[in-house]
Formats: sequence, structure tokens, C-alpha cells
Amino acid sequence: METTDPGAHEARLFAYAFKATIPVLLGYVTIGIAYGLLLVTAGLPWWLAPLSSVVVYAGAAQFMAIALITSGRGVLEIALLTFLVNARHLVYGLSLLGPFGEARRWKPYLVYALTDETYGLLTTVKPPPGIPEGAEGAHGRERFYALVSGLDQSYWVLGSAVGAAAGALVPAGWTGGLDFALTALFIVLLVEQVRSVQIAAPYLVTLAAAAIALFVFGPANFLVSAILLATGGMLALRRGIEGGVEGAAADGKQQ
Amino acid sequence: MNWDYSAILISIAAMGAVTLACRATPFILFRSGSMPPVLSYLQRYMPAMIMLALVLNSFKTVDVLHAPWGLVYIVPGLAVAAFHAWKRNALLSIIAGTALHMLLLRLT
Repeated sequence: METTDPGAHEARLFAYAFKATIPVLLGYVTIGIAYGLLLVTAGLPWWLAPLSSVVVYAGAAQFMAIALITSGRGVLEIALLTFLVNARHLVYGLSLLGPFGEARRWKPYLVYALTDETYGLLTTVKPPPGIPEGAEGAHGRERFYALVSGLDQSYWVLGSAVGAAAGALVPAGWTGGLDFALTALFIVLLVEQVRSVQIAAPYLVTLAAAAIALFVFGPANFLVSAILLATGGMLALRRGIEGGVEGAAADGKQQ
Repeated sequence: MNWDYSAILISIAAMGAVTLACRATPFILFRSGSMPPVLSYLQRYMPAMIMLALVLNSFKTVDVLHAPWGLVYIVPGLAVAAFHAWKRNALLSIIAGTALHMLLLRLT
């Protein structure tokens, strides 16, 4: 039923957005709790967890920063690693240039809040029925995207605050080894990557780069040097890898 | 503990600025939806490379030469990978692996 009551319309838009974000609610609250717990058990003050979730709002980088901050790494190194971990975001926007192109008031927030999961939702979930096609519905679609993005971030901030509060209350001896959750998270993300990137070169190059980084530059400089060496290696091998991938694609077409 | 709060807050602000810059770049640069071939080549493989580097970074200080030979880390690590490849439930994989690690840590 079409309604002209703007209040009812808003409520329906919110309900639709909330329903779309329920999977992210479950994931963000629990991983946010793990993040807050880890941050506090690393000895950092609890309020850094929700503050980071508002200012940075990038899960993998926030997890990584716990170890970097507690080991006293400099701001330049932290910024460079944040860039390397978040470089994938350089391309996320490409598939949202159209949808966000018509956004006005909420566009800065939509761009700022574009996490992996929100990107996943916004590129797959359709705006609720009843919003007209074309320019007429642009405002409604923008509101819907903003609601999805805002709900997702509220789950993340809530989870990290709850985790940090719990970490401050639980005795320290109980949480020993909890930081393995972070390692486990990276392993899970790596398994997901292996499912989608099924050529050996990037992994072999990274393993070689990691070995060089560890023995030449030492454990303290491991992450930055390994990633930079691996990037250099992939650039050096570009012709061979792209030729190989295209060759394989051409073979596939011929069959 | 005594933290240098100004250094921490500057680091958090820098992380926020870098993250926002990454997210905003395509909207500023690529209005047409095209990007340099070298970037599109790198972005295909960067996430996989960085995740592997982050995993290795977590294991870089594990002592495999002396008992218990890093098994407290390696066994739960392999368990997470196997469990996730099997069930593909991120949350379950992380909780199960972390619980196994915390258990092994208390048994050894």
C-alpha cells in the first residue's frame, strides 16, 4: 500500500535496512567484542576501542594497530601499514560510483563508512520496493544506503565498547591466549582469499618476501618490509603472471 | 601502565585519515570507472598477499626449535584453516581455534 505519511515511510525504510543488516549485526558485535577485549587485555585504556571504531572504522587495521601501538611503533609506520591493509578499499568505490554518484547529503558518510561488509551489502541488497526508479527515487535510495551504513557502524562501535568493558572486568589470568583470535581472524580471511585467488604466484612471492624480510630486516620490521618486498616482486613478475592468466583464459575459450 | 596518549591519539587520527583517503580515492579519481592497468593488476592480488603476510606476522616469533615446538600455535592455526575451509563460518572457526589455543596454553 502506498502511503504519503513520511513517518510511516521512514519506519518502513528503517525496518527494511535493519533486516538487511542482521548478518552484519551478528558478525560485527561478536568481532567487535573480541577487538575490545584484546585491546584492554593488551593493557590499553578501554575508551580507545570505541574511539578507534568511530575514527578509523576498519576492522583488520584496528586489530593490527593493537600490537603496533603496544610495541611503540611510530606513527609513520602505523600509517603505512594501515594504507597497505586498507589498499583494497582503493577499488571498492569503483562498483559504487553509480549508486553513490546520485547521493548528496550523505555521500561523505557513505564513503567514510564503506567497510568490506557494508560494501558487500550495498552491492547486493536492493533498496526497498516503493522507491521510484530514476532521479525521483534518488533521495530514498540515499537514505536507505545511509541507514545500512549507519546501522553497520553502530554494531561495530557497540561491540567494541562492550568487549572493552568486559575486558576491564574479567581477571587477567582468564584471558591469556585470547589474542590468538586475531591470528585466527587473519587465517580465516586468508582461506577466503585462497578460495578466490587461485594462482600460486602471489603466495609464493609473499613467502619468499617474508623469508627475506625476517632474516634481513629482522622480526621488528617484518610486516612492512615483507609487504613492500612482495609488492615489488609482483610488479617484477607482472608480465609473466598476466601473460599466464590471459593465456589460461584464452585456452579456456578455445575449448 | 603509562602510555604516551598524544602519540596514541595521533596514530589513531592518522589511521582514520589514511583509511578515509583509501575509501575516497576511487570517487575522486575514477569518475569514468577506469583505472591504470598496474593498479588493477595489483589490487587483484594484494588482499591475498597481505592476509598471508599478516598470518606469518602472527607466527614470526613462535619458537619451533624447542619443546613444545610452537605446536600450541601451529595446531590451532591449522585447525582454524581446516575448520573454515570445511564449514566456512568465520565466527565459529575463530572461536574454536582460539579456545583450542587457550586450552593448549594451559596444558603445556
